[in-house]
Amino acid sequence: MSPKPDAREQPVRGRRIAAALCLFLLTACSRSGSSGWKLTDIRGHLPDLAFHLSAAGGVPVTARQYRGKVVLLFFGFTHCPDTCPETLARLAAALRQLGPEAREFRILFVSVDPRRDTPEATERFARAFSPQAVGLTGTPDQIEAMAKRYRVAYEAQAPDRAGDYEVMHSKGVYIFDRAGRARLLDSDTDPVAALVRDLKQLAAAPS
Amino acid sequence: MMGWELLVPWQPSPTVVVAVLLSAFLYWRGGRRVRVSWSRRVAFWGGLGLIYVALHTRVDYYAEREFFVHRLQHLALHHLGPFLIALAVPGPTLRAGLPVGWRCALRRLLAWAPVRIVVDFLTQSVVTGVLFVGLIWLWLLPGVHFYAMLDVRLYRLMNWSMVLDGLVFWLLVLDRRPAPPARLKPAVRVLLLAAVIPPQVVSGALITFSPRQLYPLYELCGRAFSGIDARTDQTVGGLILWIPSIMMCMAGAVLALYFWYRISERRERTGGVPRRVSSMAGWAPRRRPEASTCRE
Repeated sequence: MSPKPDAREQPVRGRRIAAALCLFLLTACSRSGSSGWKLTDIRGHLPDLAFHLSAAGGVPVTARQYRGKVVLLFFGFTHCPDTCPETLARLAAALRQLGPEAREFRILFVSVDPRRDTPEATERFARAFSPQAVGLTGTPDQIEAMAKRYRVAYEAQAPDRAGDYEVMHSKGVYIFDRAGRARLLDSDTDPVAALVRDLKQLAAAPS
Repeated sequence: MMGWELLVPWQPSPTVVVAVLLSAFLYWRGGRRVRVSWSRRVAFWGGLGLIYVALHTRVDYYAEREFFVHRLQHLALHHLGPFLIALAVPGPTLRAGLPVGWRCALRRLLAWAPVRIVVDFLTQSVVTGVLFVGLIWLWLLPGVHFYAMLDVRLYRLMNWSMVLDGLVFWLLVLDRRPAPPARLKPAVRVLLLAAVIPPQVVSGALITFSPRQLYPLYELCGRAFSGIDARTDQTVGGLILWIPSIMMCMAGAVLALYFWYRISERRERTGGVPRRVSSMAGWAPRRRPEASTCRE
């Protein structure tokens, strides 16, 4: 029985494994600066576009109807004082800059406040900003399933004396390619020019 | 949102349930065969319960939405939970809970060369310390944290790695036995606990005092509490990362010093010959040859 058979091999083995760990750390660090997108690249990190919601008129809608279009998904509510109008205006401005190419895009505005927002009201709200915008909502269960899928939060706040309440919700815009795969995440800190450039690149990409 | 709803898991995970139930069952079964003091039982159940609550209840929902709750969750997963479990010295009880045949199989598995190599590597003092601090730093790098919070698979990997590494670290440094059969010498345990403090101070201070928003994902994906803005969330999260973990490491260092003192006192009393201690924390002793018999 030799006293410590691994004594000499351990430092060498240890160093090799440590080197592998460092490589992994480096690749993890450089992950966010990947290939050629100005917005945040989230390819492979979120599930494909899928949902069961209702459009105006109570028509059931699934994600399949939007295959072939580049989808900009965004959550909000129509009584939102600032974030939702600003975001929708920003997205609409980006699409206008794309000219006739804007037909290839759809802005999906999903209301997380089904108590107050009917599908018609949501559609009217969204359509006011852009002809490519679609307003959708659903039952609380449908919205919760979708929010869980895309890891977004929303929560109705306490109502004030008039009965009005705010709903806290996510600010990010999730961009899916024509095949329904999650590709980019747009935030209000990204300049519109970056958004336009990436949308052009995504529309031109083969799906 | 009070009462039972808090206990409903946000994202049910069969792995968590199986792991926790299995540990609980083995400990309960072992506790009926081996005498375990009430304080150790409390420590084990407390630690296991804390880990389960942090991983598999509504707390997880809030941890995904607010940075300071995420830090509280990791404090439970990486420090407090494993700290309590290590204090409970669960090894003998868990092993006693295994059926006899499985105990022999476990001993053979731990003596198998690839497993021994991995265990030897992971229980080297430097590797232990680097992994403990390194994992905290890794998951707090802004780029990595962003994707860990976004991608559910990375999120699960992050939480599991924190739990498992926490268990390895605290089981090693809060070991009460002298150096063989323990993995680390008593002095090394104390030094390790002292050595992991400065890096945690640095990371905590960097996050608490950083002027820019390091983790924009919490804003993008929606917060849980409207009254807390991004700046406050990051500052409080940084303070949680900094202060409670330091206090736990210092408490651990005091405990490790006490265990060291007890070991050297026992050595003096027995005239320099250490008493034969049974393998308590369940690690395979480094130099034992293949098990010839598998005793009860």
